[in-house]
Amino acid sequence: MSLGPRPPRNPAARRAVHMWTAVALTAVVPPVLTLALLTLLIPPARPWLMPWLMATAVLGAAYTAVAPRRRWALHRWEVTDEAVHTRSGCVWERSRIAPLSRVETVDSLRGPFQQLFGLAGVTVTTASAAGSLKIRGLEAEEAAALLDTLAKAAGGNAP
Amino acid sequence: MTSWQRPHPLSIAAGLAGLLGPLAALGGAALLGSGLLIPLGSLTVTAVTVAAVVTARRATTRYRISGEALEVRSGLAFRRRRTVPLDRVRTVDVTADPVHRLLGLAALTVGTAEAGRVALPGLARAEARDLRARLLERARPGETVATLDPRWIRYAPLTLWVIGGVGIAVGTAFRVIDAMGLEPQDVALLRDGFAWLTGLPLPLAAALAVAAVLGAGTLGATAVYLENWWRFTLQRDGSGTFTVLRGLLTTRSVTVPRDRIRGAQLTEPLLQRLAGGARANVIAVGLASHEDASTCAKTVLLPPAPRQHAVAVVHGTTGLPLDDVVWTPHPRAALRRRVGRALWCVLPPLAALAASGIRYPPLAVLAGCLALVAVPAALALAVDAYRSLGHAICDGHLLARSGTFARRTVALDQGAVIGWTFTRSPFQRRHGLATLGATTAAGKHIYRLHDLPLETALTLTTELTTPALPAIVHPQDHSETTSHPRAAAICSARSASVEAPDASRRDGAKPTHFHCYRWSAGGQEWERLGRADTLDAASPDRPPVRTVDWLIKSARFVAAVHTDPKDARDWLIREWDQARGNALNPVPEWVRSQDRAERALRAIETACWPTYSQWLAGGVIILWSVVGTPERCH
Repeated sequence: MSLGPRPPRNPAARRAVHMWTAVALTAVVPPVLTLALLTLLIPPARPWLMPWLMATAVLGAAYTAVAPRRRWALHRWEVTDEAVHTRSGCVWERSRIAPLSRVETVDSLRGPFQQLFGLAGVTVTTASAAGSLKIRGLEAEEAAALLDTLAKAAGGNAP
Repeated sequence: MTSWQRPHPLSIAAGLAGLLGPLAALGGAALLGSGLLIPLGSLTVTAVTVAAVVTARRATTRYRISGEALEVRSGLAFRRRRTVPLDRVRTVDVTADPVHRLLGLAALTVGTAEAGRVALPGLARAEARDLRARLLERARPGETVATLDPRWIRYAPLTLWVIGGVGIAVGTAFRVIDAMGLEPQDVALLRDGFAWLTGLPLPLAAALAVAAVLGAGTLGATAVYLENWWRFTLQRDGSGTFTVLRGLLTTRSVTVPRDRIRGAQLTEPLLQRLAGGARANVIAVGLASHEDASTCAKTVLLPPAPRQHAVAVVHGTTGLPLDDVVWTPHPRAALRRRVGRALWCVLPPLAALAASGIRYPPLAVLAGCLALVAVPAALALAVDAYRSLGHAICDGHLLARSGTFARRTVALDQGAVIGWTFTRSPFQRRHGLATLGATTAAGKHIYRLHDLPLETALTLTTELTTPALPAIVHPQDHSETTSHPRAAAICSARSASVEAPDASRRDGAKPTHFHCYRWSAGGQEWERLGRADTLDAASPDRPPVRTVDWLIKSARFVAAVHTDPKDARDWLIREWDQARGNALNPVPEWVRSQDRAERALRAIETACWPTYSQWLAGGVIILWSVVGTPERCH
């Protein structure tokens, strides 16, 4: 039996893998493209640019193939009667727990990537600047329902 | 003082004084006919505009203390009126820049928790002092807890900034020279100085350079210390509100009401720690967030001073005797992590240097010499970092200690914890470790316990959160864990004595007797058992790290039962003393059993159940603990 904090029950939408793939591509493609262009345009530099290009391309491809799935597998969330619990990360695994009685504000947030894939996110904040919990890659209606639940649960708390 | 007051008339002169510099420069440039006329002209126009705005604001400023609030009106085009309730005043600074000083004026800045800062420049100096006294009247200074002892100034230069500060000063000087369009060799003083220095024999020149840097750094650090901490006093009034007054040129005061204090921090930078020094900071809510960092002077309760003074101040703020806290060390894997990190910092550069020795052999020799110094130093720092690691729960506080360059001991009120974060790197996942962050609205907003056994991290989260979070954290149903058969056999009152070690004291239910536990394991067994992922939370075979680990062990590990805490203490010390003679790493002479005995007794009496351990020759570890239980136990 693995002894982490118990994984939260709910995963993100399956489509979130595509979203994270897109995010990974925006990080990986520009440097590879730049190096490829340089290799193409500056023949004298090819002998030493080529290994760099290959290394960047291989590492980038590996990252794009592995990281989004890993992210999806790690990213989970749950709201119990007592608390909000999220887990996220890729290499480093981060779990966050905030008792519902400490929740102050609940916001929905849709960045450009989430909009592109028709997904939504929810951010739960507490009085601590370090304590906000972010749930990413939810279906829009799921996010709306979650927002509603949390807003009700946190309704009694002073902002 | 209920009528409206205005700043001193000379304050307008002070406002205009800012014009003098640009005007003089412009005049000089005009006389010399240099090509700088246009930039200096635009600079002057800007200065005139700024001065006009500042002067208009000063000329229209009115202030008064009416009833329970400070009111400030100002502005010509935009009339502004600010009201600061006196009980919201957190900081009051009285400053006097050179112009102010020349004119006999001072500026007063009032900081509040929520509404930002209100500045009143250009008051007569006596008036500023009087106003400050009135603003601080609510926190009427009571007893003086601490004042600056001039001997504490010896801690001022004991910081790495002595070298860094000189580096920054020299760097700035060169940038200024560069900005003026000069090359360093064009400046006669620098050129001659450098020529003189390079003319000396190398060892002498190097020694002189080092001495110059250290001397300048020491002077600078001492000056900063004096400016910040001269006339320092820490006062405490009847309601527990702390007031700090300090400053040489700028007189600053900070007020922290009792109900905003959430804990305290003791910081021991490496050099100061070696000299027995430490400083104390308060962890409080409502000092605006950027002012909350542990390094911020606004939260300082005691400047660098002998450690026992800092410990006493922490004791006074939180009620915790830090020196008596029994720290739970973190697993050996945490040591491996630190050693690994230290070597990663040192070995790659050394290897690179050694590799370049293939072309130029002296470099390889240099790398070898550096390695002789750097590797042991890095290892020593790693071991020190590991020794610093520790946590404890005592008297309603979560305590965490870590760091080697600056060792920080944090005591955070359990009630102030409003959430948790677990962070696990791949290494930590492999070794069953986690870094637990307690989030809070006070101080740095998150305080981390590095490299805890995962199991301990989970237990802390369940035990310290109110209401408790068993369903979230534990894989199995919590009630199942509580009714573990062996746990029931040994102690039916486990929850009373485990979940909040000091609950018995709060409820007034003193333990009636004490179980004296002894448990031992071979090194390999310990390693295996220490892996948190190999055993489940409720397994009685786990190494006893937490109080609950002791309680769920079979009764055969109870070596003795005592009813008097002193007898239990004597048992603990006797056992430890016996093992001392056979210890794997000899216990230093200065660790005196009677000191330990004193601390152990206090720990037992305050229900901070002490656990002692000792590695013996032959790779066997023994752990002892004394755990008190209420009457219904047997």
